[in-house]
Amino acid sequence: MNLLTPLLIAARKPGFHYDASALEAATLIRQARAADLLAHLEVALHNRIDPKVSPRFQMHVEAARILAEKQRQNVNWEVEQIAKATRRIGVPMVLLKGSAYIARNIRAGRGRLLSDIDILVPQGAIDDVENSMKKSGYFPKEVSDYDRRYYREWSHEIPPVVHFNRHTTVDIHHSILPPTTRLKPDARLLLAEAEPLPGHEDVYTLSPRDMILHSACHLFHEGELQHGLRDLVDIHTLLSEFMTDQAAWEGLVTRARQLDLMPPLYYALRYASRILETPVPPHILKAVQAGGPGCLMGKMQDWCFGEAFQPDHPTCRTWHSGLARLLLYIRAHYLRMPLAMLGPHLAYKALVVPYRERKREEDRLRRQQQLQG
Amino acid sequence: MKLRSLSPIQVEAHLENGLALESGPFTFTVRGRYAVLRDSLHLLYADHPILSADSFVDFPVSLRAPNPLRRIFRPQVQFYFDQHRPFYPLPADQAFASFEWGLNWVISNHAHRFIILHAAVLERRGHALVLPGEPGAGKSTLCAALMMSGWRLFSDELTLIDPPSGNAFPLCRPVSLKNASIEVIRSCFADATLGPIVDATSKGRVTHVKPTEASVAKMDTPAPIAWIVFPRYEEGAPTRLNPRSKAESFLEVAKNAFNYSLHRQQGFEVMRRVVSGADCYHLSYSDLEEAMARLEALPLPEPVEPEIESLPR
Repeated sequence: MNLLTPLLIAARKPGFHYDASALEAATLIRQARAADLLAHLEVALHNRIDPKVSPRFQMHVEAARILAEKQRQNVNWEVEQIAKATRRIGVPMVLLKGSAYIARNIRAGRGRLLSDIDILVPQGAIDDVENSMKKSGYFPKEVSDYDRRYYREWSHEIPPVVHFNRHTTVDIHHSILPPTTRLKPDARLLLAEAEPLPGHEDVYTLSPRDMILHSACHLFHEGELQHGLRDLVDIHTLLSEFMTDQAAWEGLVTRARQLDLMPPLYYALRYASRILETPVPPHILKAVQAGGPGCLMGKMQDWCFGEAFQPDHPTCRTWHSGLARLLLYIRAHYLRMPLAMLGPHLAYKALVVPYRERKREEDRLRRQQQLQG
Repeated sequence: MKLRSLSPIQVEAHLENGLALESGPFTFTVRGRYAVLRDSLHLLYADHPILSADSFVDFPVSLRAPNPLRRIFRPQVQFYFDQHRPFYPLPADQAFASFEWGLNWVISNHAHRFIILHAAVLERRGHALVLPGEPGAGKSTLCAALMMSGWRLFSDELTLIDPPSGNAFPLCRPVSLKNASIEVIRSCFADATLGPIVDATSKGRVTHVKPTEASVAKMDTPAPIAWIVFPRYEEGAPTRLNPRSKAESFLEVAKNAFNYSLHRQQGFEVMRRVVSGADCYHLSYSDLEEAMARLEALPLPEPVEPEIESLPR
């Protein structure tokens, strides 16, 4: 049973206190860890854990807090290292997602763990940025020829670069959706509204409403639902911090229309309000309705997303969770590319990639084992 | 209730649903259907308390075949932490070793409430002795030998330091022995309880020594760190115990820590206090008896002068 989502909702009430049996508290830790929300849980429950709850619970959230704080320090430092590379060639650099939330010190960044730093640069500058990053010690990750071609021709990002010494991974984007998607947001509009990041020269983050739209795009149009709940929590947190009045909400809808991003906004608002009980004004939900699917498709998606936004943990899984995730995976691909491209791509992914990935995984584990020895 | 009070069949039944054990500050459940796992746990964790099914479990781990075929054909064992598989599967006869190594990985990657150093720790006269050392330096052998001669075992691998007190916490799990050290311990200490020996692991021949009953009985009692000794086994070398500079010792200990950097400034402050308050030595030896005698004769450190307030941040 999903213990995490109801708790995150309940914890928003001011007088809330967390009380649970040892068994429930331990299950909650496992679910939060699987959802990558353990440090978020620490922030949500800060100083509001009943003394009757096992002190072991405290030990785990404390560990997550230590990890998140160290990561905050690392991110702030790494951002400046990346900025040195982009400044050298006079290119503005926009931080995206987790690293932007952390660097801006907004609520969505508290207890947000991340595995890589995402940046957005003007499309024309992408090769220069890649080269300049190389000079700073960030080298392209080895990818297969197929993937390289995929990145270059059909993607909105280039193969990730990794720092040779610190192993930090940076994803360099020139847009927020693949060029093959039916939706065509103009990245130049995003850059034009980007806001300078205090304390860093020539470093920007998206405006709050663009952060929301980008997070929605990423979640509902890229099919990466492994951390679905975490990403929905991001959207909830951004909405509750920045959509404080009527004008802000309307500005968000106007912006979605301008960027051709009504569908992702529809999905974000629908599922944030359905799953995390994010308060969204009814007339705003109505205004984005145009971006939504038909009745039957809508029902089906409600079911699929309802499953996919559970923590990815055995205690939350049913026999049909896998099916829901598979359908959403196919949906994301369908949204991302024309059908003529989709068939061959999925065939490649289904037949060739598992074989290659298994080999790579085996190598990785073998290396790790050697290190342990 | 202790694990020794169960029969092998009862242990097997527990292992089906998750055998819940407490060791030092942690609780964990183990699942797995391997006879070597059942027998080794029963033997080496005999004095550890079993927990009821409704306890808070820190680390649920299981050992399973990576796929059904691997139950029958060249059987293998895969270590799982909850649903994660951090390692490559191993031959099934390494099920217990795989559990021990896996649990070390789980603790060093998740128990960040502690600063975790890569070092053996034991206690005597209320003070802890830390033995850092790269693989092959002989810290496990020395650790097993000291435990068998009356020191209280904390750990042979993981030094758990509690910030802000700086005290070491016992982990109290079996001591891993490799290759020649197995014979050394067996011949010197007839009363040592050794698990089954597994050949041909990535580390060679491997077995584990059961923690002494006295160590398990006091596994809730931490101790301040009095001595940090860097051992080095050198064949034919005379026993030498020389003081080592604190700055150098600090760097060496920090370099071999699992999560020191995560603790940032507090980590530095705590480790600075720990190293200042302890006496640091370099020990080279070839004769185990002599080395132990020198360690037992170590004086307690002089009390450190009251601290000057640390510099403003």
